[in-house]
Amino acid sequence: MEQRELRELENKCIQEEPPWCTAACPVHVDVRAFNKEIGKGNLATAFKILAKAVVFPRIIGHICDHPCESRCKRNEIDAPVSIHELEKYCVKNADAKKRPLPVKQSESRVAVVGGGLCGLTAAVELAKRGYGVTVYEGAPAVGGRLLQLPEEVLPEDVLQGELEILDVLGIETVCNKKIGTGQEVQELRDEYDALFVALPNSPDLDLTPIDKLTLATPLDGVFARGDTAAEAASYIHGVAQGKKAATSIVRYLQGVSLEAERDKEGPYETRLYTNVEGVETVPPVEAQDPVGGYAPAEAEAEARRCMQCECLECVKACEYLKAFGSYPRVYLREIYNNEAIVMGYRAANTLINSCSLCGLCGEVCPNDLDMGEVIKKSREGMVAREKMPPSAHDFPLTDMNFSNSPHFALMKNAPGTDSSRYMFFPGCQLCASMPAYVELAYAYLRNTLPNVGLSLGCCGAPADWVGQRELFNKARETFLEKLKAFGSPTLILACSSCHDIFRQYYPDLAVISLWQIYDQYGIPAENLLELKEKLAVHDACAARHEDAQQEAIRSLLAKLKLDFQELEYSKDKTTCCGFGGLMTFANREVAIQAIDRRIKESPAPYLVYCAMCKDRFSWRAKETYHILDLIYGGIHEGDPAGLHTKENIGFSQKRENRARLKEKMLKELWGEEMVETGTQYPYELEIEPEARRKMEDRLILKDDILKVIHQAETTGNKMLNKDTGHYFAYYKPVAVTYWVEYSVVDNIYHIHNVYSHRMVIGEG
Amino acid sequence: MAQMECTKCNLPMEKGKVTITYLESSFPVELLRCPQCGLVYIPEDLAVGKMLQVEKTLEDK
Repeated sequence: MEQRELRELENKCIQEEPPWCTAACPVHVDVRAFNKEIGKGNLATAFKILAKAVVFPRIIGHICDHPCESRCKRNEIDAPVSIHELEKYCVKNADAKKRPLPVKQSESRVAVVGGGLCGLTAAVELAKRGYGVTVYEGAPAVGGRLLQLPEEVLPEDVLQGELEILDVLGIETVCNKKIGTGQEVQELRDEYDALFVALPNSPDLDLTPIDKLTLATPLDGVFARGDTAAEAASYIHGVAQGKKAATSIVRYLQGVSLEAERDKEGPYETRLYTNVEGVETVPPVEAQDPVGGYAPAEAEAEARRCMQCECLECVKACEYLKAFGSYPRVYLREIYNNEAIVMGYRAANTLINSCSLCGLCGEVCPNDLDMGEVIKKSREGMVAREKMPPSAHDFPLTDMNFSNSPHFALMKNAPGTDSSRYMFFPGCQLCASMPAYVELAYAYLRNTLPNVGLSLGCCGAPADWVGQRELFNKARETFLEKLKAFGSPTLILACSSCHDIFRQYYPDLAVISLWQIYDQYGIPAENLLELKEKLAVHDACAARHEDAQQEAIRSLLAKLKLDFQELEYSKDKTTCCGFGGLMTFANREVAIQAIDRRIKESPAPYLVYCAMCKDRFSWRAKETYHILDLIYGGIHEGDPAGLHTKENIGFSQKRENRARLKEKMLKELWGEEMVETGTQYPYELEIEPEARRKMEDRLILKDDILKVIHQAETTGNKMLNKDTGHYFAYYKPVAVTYWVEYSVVDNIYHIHNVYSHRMVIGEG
Repeated sequence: MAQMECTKCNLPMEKGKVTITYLESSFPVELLRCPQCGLVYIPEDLAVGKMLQVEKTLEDK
């Protein structure tokens, strides 16, 4: 990822944008944090938040004209949070803290003309930075308009208490000294290093034009208020002008750019998005004592009405994004850093490998930021730089290679034909977990459409998902090369992931889903499953933009007269089953969280149309029906377990099912014998249930166990545990060393335990 | 510690230093091994515990 690209992507994630109240505040008080602290009863912390933005928090707390409230997001629901009342409550009740003294003293001296709130704010800001400041005031005392405020609005003791800071900071005040002409301004300028004219609307001073951004005037080193009359009427605007002038004068005296990075000073439009859907209305809290203001319990309740506005749309929708404790803007930086590391620990590898690439984040993001796209690219980079952890995707990629090996791969014209107008490509997962349906579906297709060939194999999705471009391209080329001999048949697909892959990478091939064929030509009625329950439809994430697939499924359900409901996240907003992106292999825990959340969306049994979805949901014991279960499940009459609706089929069985399916179809349809049958081992296994469970968790196949036993029995390399009488043996076919604990009784090999490791015994 | 015997050599396995390697990093580990043929026993808890942890760390290096 280039830095420019990172910036562009980061810019799309608006979680760190300020809430509306803060953006509307001319001095950007962190109102959200302030409310949070008040809500928790932490007055001192809340006061500090206020004091960070304004130098006279007790004055502003009493008199702020609070433009924040009109922009409060609660306006869209009920009424804004009474931010100003909370401020007042805070400054009245928070303990006074000692004010910090300036740390350094500068030789530079600054004059401020006008001792109102604006001028005094600038004076304090400058004095805090160590500059010598003198305030010139035409009236007998500083304070300007504040001095005229009635006691109930701004008590005299509060005002005087706050103005004590002028003495503390050594700010000189010269009262009864009106600076009223351009000549007088020039004279002051000659005396000081910089000057701020904090008087609103002073045409006599001949300072126009005033630069709105910096408050600079045509006179070098002279700055002046640049607000409109309406703005000048606002106290908080005056404070903002004072702060702006102080910033400019500091920059001027330091000789740095006056203009750089100042576009976010003053009120502005935030880019934040906060979804208010479903937010409950909470009536605003009225103070029992309207004059005295909020009592503690009232203030806390009102502060808790603050929604703590933020975006997190994607994090709310995705267990994976939630699992890593942050949000895309942070993740993007972590991914960028991960790529930049040459030597050292790549902390974001797991983050990168755990995403399902399902695209839901992009769907719910107000700026269409799809983390899946970023992550897929990152994986491709890791593979290209040979930095992909070898264990992350080893098993599924080996499985893909198996599917595209002669053990399973096949492409043939329909029996008795020499060309194909259609080619049924059921996909490796359907053949693995529901092979009988594949035979039935192929028979249906041959009866329904002319010249339907059959192609068994893997579409390459696993390689695509994990960034193995070379492997994917090789599989693609092999497939296209084979297909050449068949003309250009329309592919009939029964897997949403295959569909997605063909659409993306084989744009010249015509594809249609098997579900559309059933919908168009009629559902075969011979083996329908009798089902009374209401189902909930789970759309495959790979079909999120495939309206034709989604509609065909719903149409089939209607034709089957089955009652069904839509899930909260469905169609273009559907979630992944946990198989996508191979998350289930790279991060089992997060995959489980994702699956468990999805399966709890409705207590109804789920209806899916992707074999992987059924596999993952049934793995977590959710009753799940594949659309083909409804059409062909009748063949399991008397054997409901055969539907595997609540328990998935193990990895070993899946692989065996594929090889058997090819063997069976070759023989029954084309009268051919399978050439590649693999090594047959003469060991009868009896695998204990616990060992069977570990095989699934640890991705150990029956074939791996047979290899270990074969090597132990033929070489004699095995150990005996004298306590249990069990043998231990190990074997490393490729990269993983497999261990089997077993005993032999009456020629039957009892498998008690299996485990594996990737570290190599010896020097490697 | 389990009483392990190498069935090929008919000898009890003894504790000894064994080197294990992953991604070009080697570590000496004390494991049960056959004093004659050198067959090594790696118990389950080591394979799925510490070894797995080290494997993951090395893979992220």
